[in-house]
Formats: sequence, C-alpha cells, structure tokens
Amino acid sequence: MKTIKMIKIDADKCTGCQSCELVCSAFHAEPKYSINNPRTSRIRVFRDVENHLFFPRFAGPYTDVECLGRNPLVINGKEYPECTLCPASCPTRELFKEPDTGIALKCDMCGEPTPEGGPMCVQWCEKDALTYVEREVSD
Amino acid sequence: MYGWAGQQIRVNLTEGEIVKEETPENLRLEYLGGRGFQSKALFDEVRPGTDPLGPENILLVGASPLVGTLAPAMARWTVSAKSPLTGLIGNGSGSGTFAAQLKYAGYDQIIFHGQSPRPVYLFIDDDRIELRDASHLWGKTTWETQDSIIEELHRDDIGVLCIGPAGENLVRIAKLISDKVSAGGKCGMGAVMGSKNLKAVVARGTKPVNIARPEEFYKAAREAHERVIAAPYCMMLSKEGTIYLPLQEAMKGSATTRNSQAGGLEGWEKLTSDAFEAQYAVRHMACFGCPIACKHCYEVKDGPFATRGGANEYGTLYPFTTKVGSDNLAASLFLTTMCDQLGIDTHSCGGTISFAMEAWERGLLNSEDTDGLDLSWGNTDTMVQLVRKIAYREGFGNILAEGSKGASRQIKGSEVCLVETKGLECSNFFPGEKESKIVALAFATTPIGGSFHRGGYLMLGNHPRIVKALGAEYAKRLGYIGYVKGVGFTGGTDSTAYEGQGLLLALENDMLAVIDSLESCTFLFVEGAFDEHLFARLFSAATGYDMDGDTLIKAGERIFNIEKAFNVREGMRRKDDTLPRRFFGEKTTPRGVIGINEAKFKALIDEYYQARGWDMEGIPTRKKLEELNLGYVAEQIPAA
Repeated sequence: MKTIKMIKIDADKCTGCQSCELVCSAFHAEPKYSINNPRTSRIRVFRDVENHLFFPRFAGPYTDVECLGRNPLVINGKEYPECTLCPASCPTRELFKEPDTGIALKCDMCGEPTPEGGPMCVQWCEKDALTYVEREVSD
Repeated sequence: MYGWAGQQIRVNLTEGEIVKEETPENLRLEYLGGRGFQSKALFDEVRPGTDPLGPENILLVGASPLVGTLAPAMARWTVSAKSPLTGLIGNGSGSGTFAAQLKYAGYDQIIFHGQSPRPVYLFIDDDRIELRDASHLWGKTTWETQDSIIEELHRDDIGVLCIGPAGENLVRIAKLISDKVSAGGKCGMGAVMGSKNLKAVVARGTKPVNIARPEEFYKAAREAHERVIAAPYCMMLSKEGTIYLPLQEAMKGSATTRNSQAGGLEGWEKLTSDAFEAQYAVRHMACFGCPIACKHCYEVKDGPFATRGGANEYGTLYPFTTKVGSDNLAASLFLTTMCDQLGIDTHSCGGTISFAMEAWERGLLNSEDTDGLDLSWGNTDTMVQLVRKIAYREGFGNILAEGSKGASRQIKGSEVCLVETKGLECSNFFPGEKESKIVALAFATTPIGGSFHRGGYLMLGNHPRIVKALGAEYAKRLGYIGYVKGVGFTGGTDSTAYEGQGLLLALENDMLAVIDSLESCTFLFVEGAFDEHLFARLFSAATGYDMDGDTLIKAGERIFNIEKAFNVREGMRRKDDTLPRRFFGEKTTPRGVIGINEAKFKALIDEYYQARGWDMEGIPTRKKLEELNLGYVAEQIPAA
C-alpha cells in the first residue's frame, strides 16, 4: 500500500482571500517566512469579482510546449478561456513560474514530511475551500 | 528594506514627469504608512486656501509596511487630498488587491501633483512606470474601465484603482473604486482625481515584501489570524456581514429615518441579514489576506432592480433605505451597484438625496426644480434617476452634485434640512435612546466631517489607559453600544454617560490613526481581537524597527494632530465641531429619551479638547505639538 496525498478544492467555499498564496510563498522562501509574494506561490486563486467566481489552482505539471486546448469554458453563464482553470506551468503564461528566473513551480504538499495539520495553504484556509486528504492505494 | 517597499512615486501630471524617491526613514518611523504619510504630505505641501479642484492640490494613494504580508486583513489603500466637499483634510479608504499590487511593484505611495492636459492613467509594472493615454476610457464606468484596461494590457494580474463618470464630472461626492466593488474616497476624492484628468492607477508587481525577522513574524501573524477567527465579533461579521446592523439599530432606536428626522426604522425586518440571505445573497468575498470575508455578494435576478454586485454593506444599505424612507432591499442593491459603477460615495449620495427629499416635503422644492421628478420619501424610481443625474451633472443633478451643503446654497430656505458636519453628510447617526454619547462626539469632532471613521465605535472602554484614568466600574459604562443577535447589548453599558467619553474618543482617534496608517481593517479592533501590542509585534518583526504599543499610539496621536492642524490652518475652530441642529435637545418619545443635551455636550467638547491637549477653541497647543515632534507645525497655525 502507498499513501496518495491530495488537496481537495471546494471552489464554492472560496472567498478569494488569497491567504493560501501568501503562506505558500512565505513557507517556501529561503529563509523560511522571509518574504511574502503571491508570484512565487504554488497555489493561485483565479478571481472574477463581478461574477462572484473564486477558484484556487495548484501548480501542476510543467510543460515545455503549449497545448492545443483552446476550448471555451462556460461558468455561471460567462465564457472563460480554458487556461483559466489550468494548473500547468506552460510557455504561454507567467503563472507558476518564479518571476526572476522563470523556473517552474510545483506544489510539493509542503515537502516531506507534510507539515502537521496538513499543507500550509490548508492550515490557513478558514473556509474549508481546501482540505487535505490522504488515500491508501495498492502498489 | 523590510516591511515597507522603500520607494515612493511622485508624478507631476502637468509636465508628465515621474520621479522615484526613497521613502524617508523619519517619515516611516513617525508616520508609519498610508494615512499617516498622506496627512503629513498634505500639511507640508498644500498651502492654506488652495482650491481642492485646482492643480495646486495633491492627491495621494498609498499602502503600509504590513500590506501584502501574511498578517491578516492588511489590505487597504488610503487616498487623501484636500477635500472639495469640506474644504478641509479629506481622505477615504478602500480594499481589494490594489494596495498589495502597489507594494509588490515596489512602492509605498504615489503622490500626484498638477493637472494633466489630457486624460491619462498611470501604469506601474514593477520598475516601469508610465502615464498612458486614457481618452478612450474617459466617460466609461468603473467596471468598463477595469475591463478595458485588462483587455488593453492583456493582463488580469493587476490592481486597478479608478474613477467613474462622477469623478470626471467633478461631482463633489465622487469616490474611487478598486476591483469593481471596493470603494474608497469619502469627501470627494474621486472629484480631485477627475480634476487632475487622472482616470486610473494600475499596478502590477512581482517583487516580494521582505520580512526582517521571519520566524517571529510568522508566529505573530499566525496568532493574529487565530485571534481573528476566535473573536465573536469577527465571526459574526463573517456570517452576517455589516448588515447585522439593521437589527442592532432597531434594538437601539438609533437608525436614521427620513433624513434623520426620526430614529425609528420602519420595515427594518425587510432589511436584515436574514432577509438578505434568503433573497439575494450569492456568496461571501474576502479582502486580500482576510479570514473574515464580510463582503456579502448579491444578485437580484429579475424585476426592475435586477443587478449584481460585490457587497451589501450597512454603509450602502441605509443610505438607500431608511435614510430616504424606503424599505426596498432590491432597490438599494441596484443603487449600490450604480454608485460603484458611476463612482459616487453611497453615504454622501443617500445623504444628499434625503436632504432634497426633506426639502421637497417642506415645499422648498417643486417639480419644476426637479426636472419633473417626484421626491416623495421612498420613491425608488426617482432615486435611480437622481443618481444618474448626479453622476452626469444633468438638470437637478447638477445641484445635488455639489453635495448637500453646496446644494443648500442653491435651494432657498433648505439649510434646515442639512444633516452634515463640516460639509460631509453624516453617515448613519441618530441620537437614539441607546446610542452612546461617544458617537455624537465623534461625528461632531472628526476632522474629515460627519463620520465616525476617526473613533466612536472601537469599544475600548476596558482599555488599561481608560480603566486607569476612570476606574474599571465607570469605564465600563463608556463607549459604543452594540447589539448582537443571541447575545444582547455589548460594549458600553450607559447611553446617558457624557463624562469620560472625551478621554475615550481621544484614545480611539489615535488607535484608528495607527490602524489606517498600517492599512489594517478596523473590524479586527472592535471588541479587541487585535490590540496595539499585537500590532506592535507584527510591525516590529516585519520592519525590523522595534516599536511597542505605546509608541505606535504616540505615532497615531501625531498623525491625528497634524490632520487637526491642517484644518485649523484652513480656519476651522470650535464652532465647526458641532452636530446638525436637529440632534440637540432631549425629547421623551415612545422609544425613550432621544437627543443630545446641549449643555452636557458643550462640557464634553471641553473635556475632549483637554484630553487632546488642545485649547478651548480646538487648536493644538505648542506644548502638545512639540511633545509630538511637531514643533514646525506650531509655526504655521495660530497660537493656542
């Protein structure tokens, strides 16, 4: 058996506060907590205030080519580009890249071992939009 | 640089010149940030008698050392200038993501001088700063402006602060909007921006805010976060938002009805948080880094008032309901969105319309004056038309666009209908039976005019300083009286207490100056989730400059005094620190004894001035100013 670590996103509960971004960037800073900068966070919240849409995305796979996915997404009657919810660090945008170096960022569940109480973003999410889940699967 | 970004931007709009300067160390340590920086700049750089809408006025927008950090709810920006509504020091404060973006771009504040020859917006993209043509944005609403800028720059990772048509048209009650729904700019700050031909300020930042002592800061920030989520007041806000207040005001008999003619609140059951949640609530929205999320978004799906928007707040609700004699919740939401889009301050807008409605009731206005509109209480269709007319200065709207005091000069005999102090429409204030006298004192004395944004509601009756001065038993009676569902009355226990409120308000003035200068949300301080000591720990760990709570409050006192000195230099005296006539005189009503005892109030003003270290005309003494390291200020105002 092995343990799969996951963070479950309940976007309906997100208030768009971005505390997750702040703590992620602080935790991964060197020295730890020495900076606050959402640009270096491995979670970013997509916010559309007018349409009341807040959607946290984790830094997922790095890809060195852009994808063909240009499919429109419709949420609450408004059309968004597919990129809006995509977690990839890809050549077409700056999301999930360090601003200075361009190095791709990826969520590490806060490293090994995962902090007590779950990844930092989960700990700072007061609305339970992010919850930490461990699942046992057979090898 | 730790905490602060370390640089400020000076823009000469007349010449199109942009200069970056270091944020001076003495400014940082003595004035902290945001409102403090701005109040000092206004005193130092705006000469008395300056035309608020002329090129000599300056407009400042800024953040603080804690903005953009993990400390909870440090998300605010302040905007200041000499006010075109009051002719005195003016400022407003809003939230959203703009303040954080400004910090991440590397700047503490922006100072705008002069007047651009054509519409422009300022674009800040880290080190690159440029004035860009805004002729294509001129005339657009705040929502359209934000969308257009995002489209033009091909970026949505920006903070936009802009004015709507009202600001462009120099409407004296115009405000600024950030992120479409975060409003700031009481006292007509939007008009000052419009007078400078400045449509928007756009910031995009990729740099970090650096922390001097990381582990210590994290610990303090986490403790602060936990204190916020454990605080009953904050969690009540999380659940109900500021619209818990209709119930409270009904219980206190202190809601302001029909231009503050009465303290009842007919139909309040239709305006409560329960009524809102059941009909129009969509979801909750937070300001940057805030675990409370008190903004309750709304959507009215159909009917004549179909609309959507960011926050149903008490500050947007009452101006368009009780103040104007309406209990139509959908209409108030519609008007709130309209005001956000057109860029008009809701408090002053409702206050100005209710002033006109009272003038109509008294027969001082007729339909010839009002372009045929019927200004009867609660006429929501008229209100919708008036808001539009005000924004575009059309017909009767051109008169109301001057604000209530300005309008009263053009409507014969209407002075009796004014509910303002120093020209700013009194936000919700009615001296009902259960309203603490500190609120009356705050509305009378606040330098920006009729508002209690400078104190009166922090409930600091149990603060050690107050307890020490007045004794614990008596101190308990003082301060704002709240009411929470399921709990009952909170805060001060005695609405008849006058004595001691002056001492308490002086402390609240200073505390709020610190809160606004560090650009924190004031809600954290109500009922004490936060205090100055926790603030001092966050400040010290973030900036590396050790400061204790008392030193912070001293900085607050300095900031408050320089603001007062600005007004004194403009000619403001004791006679200006008063309330609308209608609030004086105690009357026995079915709702208890309402109104303010004039003799006791006079004594309270004396007490307050004394607690402030001012003379009996309200002029800061040289001794007080020197104690605050403001000796140079004493040179520029009449001797106390």
